[in-house]
Amino acid sequence: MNRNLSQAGPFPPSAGPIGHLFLTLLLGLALLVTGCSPPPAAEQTTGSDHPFREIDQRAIPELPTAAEQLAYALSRFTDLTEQRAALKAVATLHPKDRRATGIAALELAYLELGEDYRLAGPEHIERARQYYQRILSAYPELAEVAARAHWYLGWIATELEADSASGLEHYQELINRFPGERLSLPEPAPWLTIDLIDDSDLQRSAPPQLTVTWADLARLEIVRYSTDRQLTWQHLLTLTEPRSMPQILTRALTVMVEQHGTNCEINKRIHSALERVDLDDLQRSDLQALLAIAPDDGTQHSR
Amino acid sequence: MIRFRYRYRLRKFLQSFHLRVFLALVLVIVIFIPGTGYVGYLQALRIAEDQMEQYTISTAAQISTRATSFLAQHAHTVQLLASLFEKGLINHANDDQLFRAFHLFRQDRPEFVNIYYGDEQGRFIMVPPQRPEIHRIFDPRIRPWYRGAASAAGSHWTEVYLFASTQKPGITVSAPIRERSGTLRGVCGIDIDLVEFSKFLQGIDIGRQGVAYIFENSTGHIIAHPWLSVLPEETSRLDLLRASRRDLATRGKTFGLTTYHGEQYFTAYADYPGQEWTVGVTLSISDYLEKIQVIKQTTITLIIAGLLLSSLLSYLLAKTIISPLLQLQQGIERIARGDLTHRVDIKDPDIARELARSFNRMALSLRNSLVALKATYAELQEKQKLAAVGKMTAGIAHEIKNPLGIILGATQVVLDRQRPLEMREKAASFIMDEVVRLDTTLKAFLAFAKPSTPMLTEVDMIRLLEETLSATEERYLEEGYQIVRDFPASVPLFEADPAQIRQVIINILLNSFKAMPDGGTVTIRVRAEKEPEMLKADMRFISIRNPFTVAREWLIVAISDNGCGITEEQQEKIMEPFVSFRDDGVGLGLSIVSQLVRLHRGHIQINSQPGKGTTFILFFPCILRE
Repeated sequence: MNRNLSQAGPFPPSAGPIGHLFLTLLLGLALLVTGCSPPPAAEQTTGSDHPFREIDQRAIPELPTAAEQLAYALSRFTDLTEQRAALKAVATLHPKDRRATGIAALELAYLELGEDYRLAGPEHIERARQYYQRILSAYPELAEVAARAHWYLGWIATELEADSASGLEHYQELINRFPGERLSLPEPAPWLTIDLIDDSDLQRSAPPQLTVTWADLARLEIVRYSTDRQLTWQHLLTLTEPRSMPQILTRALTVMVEQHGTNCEINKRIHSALERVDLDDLQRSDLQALLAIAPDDGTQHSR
Repeated sequence: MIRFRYRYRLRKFLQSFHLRVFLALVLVIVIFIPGTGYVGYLQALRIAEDQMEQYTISTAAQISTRATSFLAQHAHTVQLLASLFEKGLINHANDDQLFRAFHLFRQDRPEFVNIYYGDEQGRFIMVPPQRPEIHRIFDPRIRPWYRGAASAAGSHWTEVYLFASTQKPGITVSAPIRERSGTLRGVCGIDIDLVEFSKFLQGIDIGRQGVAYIFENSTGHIIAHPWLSVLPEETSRLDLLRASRRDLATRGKTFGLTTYHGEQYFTAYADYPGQEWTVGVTLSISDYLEKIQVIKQTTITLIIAGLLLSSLLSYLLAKTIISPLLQLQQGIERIARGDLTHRVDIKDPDIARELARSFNRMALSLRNSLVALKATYAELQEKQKLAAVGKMTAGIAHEIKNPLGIILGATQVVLDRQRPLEMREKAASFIMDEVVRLDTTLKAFLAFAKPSTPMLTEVDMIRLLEETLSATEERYLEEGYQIVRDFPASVPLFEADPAQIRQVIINILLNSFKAMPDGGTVTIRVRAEKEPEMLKADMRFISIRNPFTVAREWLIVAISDNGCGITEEQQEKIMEPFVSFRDDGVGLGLSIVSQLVRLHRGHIQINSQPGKGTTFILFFPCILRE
């Protein structure tokens, strides 16, 4: 190569434009390389970032609200020990929320009976009874909790311990103290609820409530177990009032007939009930079936 | 000045052949390499999308098959249970037997939430038991699972609903229990926990952000998804599934891309056999885009590297192509400057080398021609000299012969004592006049024959003219001549001997005055030109133009008179020595002018028309000074 050429020709000796050209290309390369950096790692979508609290040797997630903690605890667990730990966590992690801790306590009391209360032994029944008693003492002002505890104490006594007298006392006290307290279903955990394309009443923020009251259920139990004719009749009249629910009305008359036999007065109540227009076909059929049973002489029958 | 220089260089650079070749190569590369890379990238993207589509659809189909198998077991179980009832192997009136049977069925089946039996009388038994408060008012006959089974021949699947006991989503498979007569006795059912059902979806590997799920066609319930059993914050991700379903339903498609929160997801749906369900698979394309991104990054990096390398190679290639031309250009410039010994050394093969060889042959030929020309020129000069000597000899002989004849005759008269004294004195006076005339002639001859070597110095022509005119102008004015000056403010300096140039000016002026014996006007114009048109035009040069004189700027002095003029024939000879068209002229004045101008590497041009006047135009090469 001719040495003179490096200083000749159209390119200046310093090769300025070429230098600028290469500098621009290098800069472009740097920009492109940095611009083409790999995308950030995809966010992990499984698993949870919640802290965990060890209770009864089980790791329980610490959820931000008592409602979520309770909903998590009410999720069905195949392991009862784990469910107990989850229920205990409600009081441990959110002690100030008395409703949540009260309901968790009620669930813990029920778990004392095991998976199937029909198979529960006397010691389990006794533990459950004592648990409900403690709940009554601890949450006297919380109607939702206390009414349920009263009913369960009555149910344990009448159904599991065959102690009708004690049970009826609890039912009567429930009727006296919480005459209008309705049953409530457990609040569905938001993350366990099926999701809909559109809004649905299945997505609820408040706990679902039934129209049935604990007092209605207590009266039903009194009708079922009481041997006091006047008391039984009194509560039957309450349950079969025109404003009572068809479901409760039908159930009360059925229990009455099944437990105490029938008579003219009862048949009159059944006829009166059949005149209601809000009965469905099944309820109407059931009531007509009761009428088919031959009335007694008006005296009470033994169970 | 500096700005002008840079602009000049920039313009020269932009117009350069080197830059054009370089840009042409770069443009070709810039178009081809990224184009090829982009096409490759698009193909990879298309293949990846096709693969993802196939993968998604096949995954949905596999899930559908597995889910069908999963649920079919439960349908078989409940039908088995119903047939046990119908055949009397389970006594429906015996609660203990029912409990045992149901517990047995639930064993090792975590997805079986509840197993139950309800009859036409409203009796209901379930394992595990309902909450007692619910059990007291529960009527199985109004439940969908009971009604569905009562009207079905075989097993019946409910829609998804929340279990009353746990408020968890589930579905129920139920089967009717009939008497031998066909009358409905009751219905047995099994609640399936969708949380458990969904768990098997978690085990399907469909990418970090992929999700498989099942939804009901009629209600839109997402009945199974892998987040169903995990903690709350994942619930919001159901919006993704909802958005995908709404988007595809709007477009009437079963697969496609959906943008959700700025990210793209690919969703494919597959029908679920036997149910009004649909299996969906939604994948984040970022999973596979990472792979595409790697391909893209690699492609871009290769393109950039290719561009850089190609640009460098283009530059070198352009330089290689242009270099021989530059060498030739340099060689031509050197040759043009007179360096005929210069040779171009190009070793490149092909045309450039042949071009260089041709150039070198041309340079050699030029050199040989020049040598021959110089020899011819020298020979011509010698001949001209000999011719001039001959002419001069003739001229001298002519100029001397007459005075000598007069002197000889006058001398004879003087020596003849017999002649009267007055005559002899007059003859002696003739002798003296002729001797003076001979002396003048010889001086002029010597000035022409052996001019002194010019003592070159930087001369300002305007100043030199003013000095020359100031010494003689007054006398000429008295004789009736007027001198008009047409000078610019300044002209470039030029190398010259001031005395010789002054003599040139005076000789031309004297010539002009003699052309106007009754007086007249002489105009002197001075100007400087870079490439005078007169030099380029096909105009007659009286003097022999020096072929080796190259100047970028010329000083031009034009002296015009309005005298009698010169004919073309006279113009041919007017510069020759001892040629005079007047009686009193020796014929050496303009010859000396021509000689001195030539000594200064200049030229003379004469424009003349008889009766109108004559213009002598002198061209002198200038010294350029910035």
